[in-house]
Amino acid sequence: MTESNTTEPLNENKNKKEISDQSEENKEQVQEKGKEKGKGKTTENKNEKTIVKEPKISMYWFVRVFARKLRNVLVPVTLTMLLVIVLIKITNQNSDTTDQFSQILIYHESSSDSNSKKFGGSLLNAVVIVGVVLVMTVFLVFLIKYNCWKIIWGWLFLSCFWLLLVFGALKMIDVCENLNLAVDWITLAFLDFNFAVVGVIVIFWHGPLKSNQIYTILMCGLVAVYLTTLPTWTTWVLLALIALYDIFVVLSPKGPLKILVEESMKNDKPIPGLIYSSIIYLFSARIKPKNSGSSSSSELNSNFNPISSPSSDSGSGSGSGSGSNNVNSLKEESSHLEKGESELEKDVENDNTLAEDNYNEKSSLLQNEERKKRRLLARRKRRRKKRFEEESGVKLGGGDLIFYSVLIGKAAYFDYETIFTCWIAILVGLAVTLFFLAVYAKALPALPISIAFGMIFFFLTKIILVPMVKQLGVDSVMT
Amino acid sequence: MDPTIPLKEEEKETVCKKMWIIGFFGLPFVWFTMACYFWKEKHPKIRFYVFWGLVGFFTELLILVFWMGIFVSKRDSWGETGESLSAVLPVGTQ
Repeated sequence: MTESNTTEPLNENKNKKEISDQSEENKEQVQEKGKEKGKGKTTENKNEKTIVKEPKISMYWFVRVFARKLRNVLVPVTLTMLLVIVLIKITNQNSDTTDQFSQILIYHESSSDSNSKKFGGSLLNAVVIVGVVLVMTVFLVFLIKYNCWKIIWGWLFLSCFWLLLVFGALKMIDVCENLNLAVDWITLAFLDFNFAVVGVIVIFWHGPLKSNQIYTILMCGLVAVYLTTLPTWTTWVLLALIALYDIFVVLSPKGPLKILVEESMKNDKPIPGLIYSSIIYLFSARIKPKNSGSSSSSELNSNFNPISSPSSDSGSGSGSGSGSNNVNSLKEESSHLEKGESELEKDVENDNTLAEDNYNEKSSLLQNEERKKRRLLARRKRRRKKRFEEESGVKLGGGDLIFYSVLIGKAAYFDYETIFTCWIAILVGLAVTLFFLAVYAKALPALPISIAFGMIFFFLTKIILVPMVKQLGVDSVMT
Repeated sequence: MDPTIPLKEEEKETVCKKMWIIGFFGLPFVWFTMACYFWKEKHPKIRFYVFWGLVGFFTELLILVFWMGIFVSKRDSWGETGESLSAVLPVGTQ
């Protein structure tokens, strides 16, 4: 197998089947892929597989698979954001909305405070929230280490059920109020109950993949809508802190999330919960998972346990709906707040030996990709490596969806321009993160880059773009 | 469970049956998801469950729609009961 320099870092991580696939396809399709760099070389080598083609093959393959993975990830993120924006706009949520978080926040923001006081107070609030999140994650890691799977499942199950039931009902009522619809308790209870039960069944038990994805989006959207009711300064500082926390928790060797993922991989027990999966499995014959930690069959990345809004307990225990006053101290709240992590993890194929054989084969008969793939996979079946084979797919943690949507929600409070710029910024950040994922091939935090871009663009738009557009409108240059 | 692992053949019938039973607790949408999930199966028992599940789903949906229609139109004339039933009181109606 050729190991040209440009492809060296990519080769170890890539789905080698695809590379060898391309070596055959490339002959026919190399002409069309004019946009790749270095295409001049390939025209002479139409009928032979030579080393020269290698960079081009990988580029083509890389772009193609990367684009597919990107699309698989961008769609749910965009849909969650859309859901949050629609809910916010319909219910006319804005900075004046009574926040339900006053019980857990130490510093209550009021507009009469000076900027530095606001910043200090928000920092305090955010540190407290992130601290609680850390505690819950560590607690979860302990539960996993001591194999208390029943507790984990029960906790997450109750959490999600409560969240869907209560937040769903409240949002439905809010939406109906704003749309002036008369709804009776019977219908509402019936629909809400159905909504919650189907959601729980589809996420924690068996259900069509699309339903699972839809409910993940719905759940993350609901949590995000409630999180945007935090006071403004607190939210922004919280976002920044969560991004930093994410880096620490995913990348550092002591990070709880890393341990979590490794433990769940070791025992081969996936953590149930909010992970958006876009993977399609080709084979379901599973013999033994590969023991490598973060590579090969291990898609799984983290759990994301939804942040239960502190005033509404989406979790075990006491408490009623949002706005409840019965949880007073922060300590009690912490039993309701749980948060896992958000990271992207790549599916990695470690077929180092496969590519060489394919490379030497003649494939004159196979014309289209389908048959090549099938043949390749059939060949692979004969090999000793038996594990799940995956098409391109990425698993995205629910925390990512939530915090992206919180950022967009805050942008939605302001104006439509900020929504668009932040949306583009987040998508670009996601693409960059996916690129790094392709290069490093291990679990990466998905939050920091996107949130950094999102925040930068939000403030830039707010300070520069919006006044400019308004001024142009006033001067009749632009409507 | 991991949603990306497709169900094995022998598990399908038990899952279908469980969903069928769960649907009887006033949960027609569970029948709907069962129908979506097992739509392409050829096993006769599964087809039976899917078919009757769909029938149940549409029946309950019809009942729901009728009830909503009745409620929305007659809510005002019911006076006290109407108001106590409403979760949301629309603004600006008599």
